[in-house]
Amino acid sequence: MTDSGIGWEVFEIMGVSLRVSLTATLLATLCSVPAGFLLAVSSFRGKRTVVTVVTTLMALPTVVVGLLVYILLSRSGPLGSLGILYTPAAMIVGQFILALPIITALTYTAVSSVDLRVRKTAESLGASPWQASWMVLKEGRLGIIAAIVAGFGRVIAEVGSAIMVGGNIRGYTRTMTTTITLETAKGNFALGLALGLILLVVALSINALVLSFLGRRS
Amino acid sequence: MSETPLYRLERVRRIVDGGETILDIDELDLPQGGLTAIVGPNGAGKSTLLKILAFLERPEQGTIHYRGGPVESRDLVRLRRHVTLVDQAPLLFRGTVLKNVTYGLRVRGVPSREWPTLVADALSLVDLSGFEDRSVHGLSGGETQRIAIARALVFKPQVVLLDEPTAGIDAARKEMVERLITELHTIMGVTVLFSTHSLAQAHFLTERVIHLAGGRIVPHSIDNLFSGQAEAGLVRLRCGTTVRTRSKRTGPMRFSVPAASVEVVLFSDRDDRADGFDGTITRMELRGGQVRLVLSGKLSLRAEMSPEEFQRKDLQLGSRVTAIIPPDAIRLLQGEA
Amino acid sequence: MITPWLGAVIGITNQIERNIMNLSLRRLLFVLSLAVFVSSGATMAADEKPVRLRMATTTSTDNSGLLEYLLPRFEEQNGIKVDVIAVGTGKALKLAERGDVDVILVHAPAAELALVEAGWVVNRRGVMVNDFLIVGPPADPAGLKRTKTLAAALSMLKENQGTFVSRGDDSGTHKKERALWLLVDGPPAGDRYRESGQGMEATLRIAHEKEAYTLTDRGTYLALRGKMELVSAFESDAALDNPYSIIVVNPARHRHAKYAEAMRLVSWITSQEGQDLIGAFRVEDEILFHPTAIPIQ
Repeated sequence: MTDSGIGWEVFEIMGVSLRVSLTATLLATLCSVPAGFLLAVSSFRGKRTVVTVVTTLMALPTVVVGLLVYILLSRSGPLGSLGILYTPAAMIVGQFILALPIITALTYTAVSSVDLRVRKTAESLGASPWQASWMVLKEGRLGIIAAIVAGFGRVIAEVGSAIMVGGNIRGYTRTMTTTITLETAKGNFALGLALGLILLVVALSINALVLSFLGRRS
Repeated sequence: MSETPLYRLERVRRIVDGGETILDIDELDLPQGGLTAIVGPNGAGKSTLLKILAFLERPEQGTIHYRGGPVESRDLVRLRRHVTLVDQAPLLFRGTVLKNVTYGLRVRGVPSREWPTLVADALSLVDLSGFEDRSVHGLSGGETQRIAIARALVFKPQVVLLDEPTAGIDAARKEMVERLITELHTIMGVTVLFSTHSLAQAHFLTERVIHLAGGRIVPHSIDNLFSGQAEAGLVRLRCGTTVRTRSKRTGPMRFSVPAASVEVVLFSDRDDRADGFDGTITRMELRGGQVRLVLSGKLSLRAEMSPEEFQRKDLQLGSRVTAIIPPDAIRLLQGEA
Repeated sequence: MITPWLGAVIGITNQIERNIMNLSLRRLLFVLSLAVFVSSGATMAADEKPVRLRMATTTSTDNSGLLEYLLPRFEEQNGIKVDVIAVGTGKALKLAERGDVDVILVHAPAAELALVEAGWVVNRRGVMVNDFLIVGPPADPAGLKRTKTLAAALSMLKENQGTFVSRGDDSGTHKKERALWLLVDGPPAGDRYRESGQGMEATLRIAHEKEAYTLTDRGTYLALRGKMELVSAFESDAALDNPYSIIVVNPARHRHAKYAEAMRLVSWITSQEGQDLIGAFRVEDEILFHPTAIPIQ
């Protein structure tokens, strides 16, 4: 890729980045928010251990996840028959795993910090356990939204797993971060920096968009 | 009573994690449509009793009958929809007043077109009409309390339980809440239970007062509550006098003496028995078929007796009397002195 | 002094909090789903249609720009999209063995033959050759420029001043380098020999920063030459030839491998057209690869 050739391609790369990271974040949200919530409201033996493990997994190195997903999805691996290695789907799997512990742990924290009376109050007003849980979730929504945004932040910015299971294929699995890696390796520091800046702006716009849209009265 | 009581509690015990029994009720009937006050000091079990009645907590032991049928765990969610509890320091959900007040309607699936009228009605009941779009952020303590009441009344519950509804609000608002309690009961026919510290408030609002102390119902409608020091077989009261007791417990303690257990005789008719307190009858009234007296002397005591006994003893307002507390009548209560 | 500031800050925080109070989780999920849908729609069209052929190749080939110049013509003519995964030769061979790619374009003859022998890959065809060269700082502390033979150059490196940076990543270049050191009974000792563990570009940059020598393929060096001060210290020896082969994953071992498409790529790249294109490819006005599939007249 030559310096001049990156012009329009940047939008394609942004598209891949956004599609992969948003999908991974959405899927992780669907699993992690209920998981973090259940973890916060339930009590069982070994709960502290589970919380510690989940919190520790937040520091999971992206390359380790990349390697695990590679081994899993490789043709010679257990899920090889899916044939999704070196596709956006594989990157989604990697980023999904990366986002899981973050969103779970932060949701857990957010829900744990909700006033215990919220559930009782909802129940005293006739809420079923599900309805009361939903209320607790809503009262903790600030923290949960922060958890989801943090999860998205981690996956849009990660490169280790994206490059390992995506393969950095031009026009297919090349993302903002893998492009930065490539351009840096080629010595195009300025271009790498510019892409980094674009990545930040993209993440910022997404967050601002989400927050402003959500901020409007329902 | 021939009518089935709304609630019937039998041998209900609530035991907390530490193994301590915080509520221990042998028997309690609450009639349909009644207005009942629960009086007692902090830690007496008032809130626990209300939570059990609201089906928010289940006692570890005993049975609760609601409308004649025993309550099983699986009934709780359904029964909660009939009953509501307003907390002592109620928590409002984040957002607007409207969001809070409509919550009970939403969880019950009341069609949203009916909401505006219901909400307006509930808010006007608590004198907060037009507060719909206010954010709960920035409501005063009194407003919070009243929004919480409106939120509980909007879905027209059959039973309303209020935990210390007038604690921490100013005199004017207190009067409003008291009026509301009366209206709920008399005009709307709702069964109302409220807890309070104030015996005066309880008696002002209703004839039916449950005294709770140390998790137990003190069995009579009126009690004398004292605090003092228990020694072996003796209770040294704050005012300096002592009475005899059967209990062997020692230490600072609260005591109750049921008004009906207090024996009252004219000063002139007294014999030389010990433990007599001299005083004057300063108040008397007829309530619930019983005569209630207030004796003022070194010790202020309430006494209760049948009109027949009252007449036989020839008592009158202003009579000089001696009150005798039988050792058996003294109940030592748990809880702070 | 502080109070008005504090008041203002608290006021602003409250304002923000009040606004955020009205956030709804349901909306967040909705927005997220919408974003996924939109971004998928935008890129989906490009994904599905063509058959995708996965080719693992070395970073050096990819970064020279050769494949971007070559492959679009093949893709256009055959309706096959070639996904290029640029890794070290060692990893490319591994990917072929595991069946994670359909075809490889690599430069490590001995390792290639071993893989063919083992039956994981078939139809190995020579495509082109370029050459390796030893680059180093202009000051040439090891005195390589004065040497005439490769063996002499290597012993200078081993005995004289100067540091050598090795790829150390089991890539084709690294395999080649290790083979070369055998000529002088092993590489320099101690901290005069460093392993970068990274790709060719990164290794070249490390050599540039540390004013050290390294072995590089000509393509990558030419692509990066303008950005660093390394100069050619020794080149043009038959032992520095760098032959590239294209090899197809054995469909008998990996049933899902796209053998037919891979063979079309092999035939095209070794055809007169493919070979002419390779021969005409230039970086900074230098011919980089010499086609070897068809003898040039």
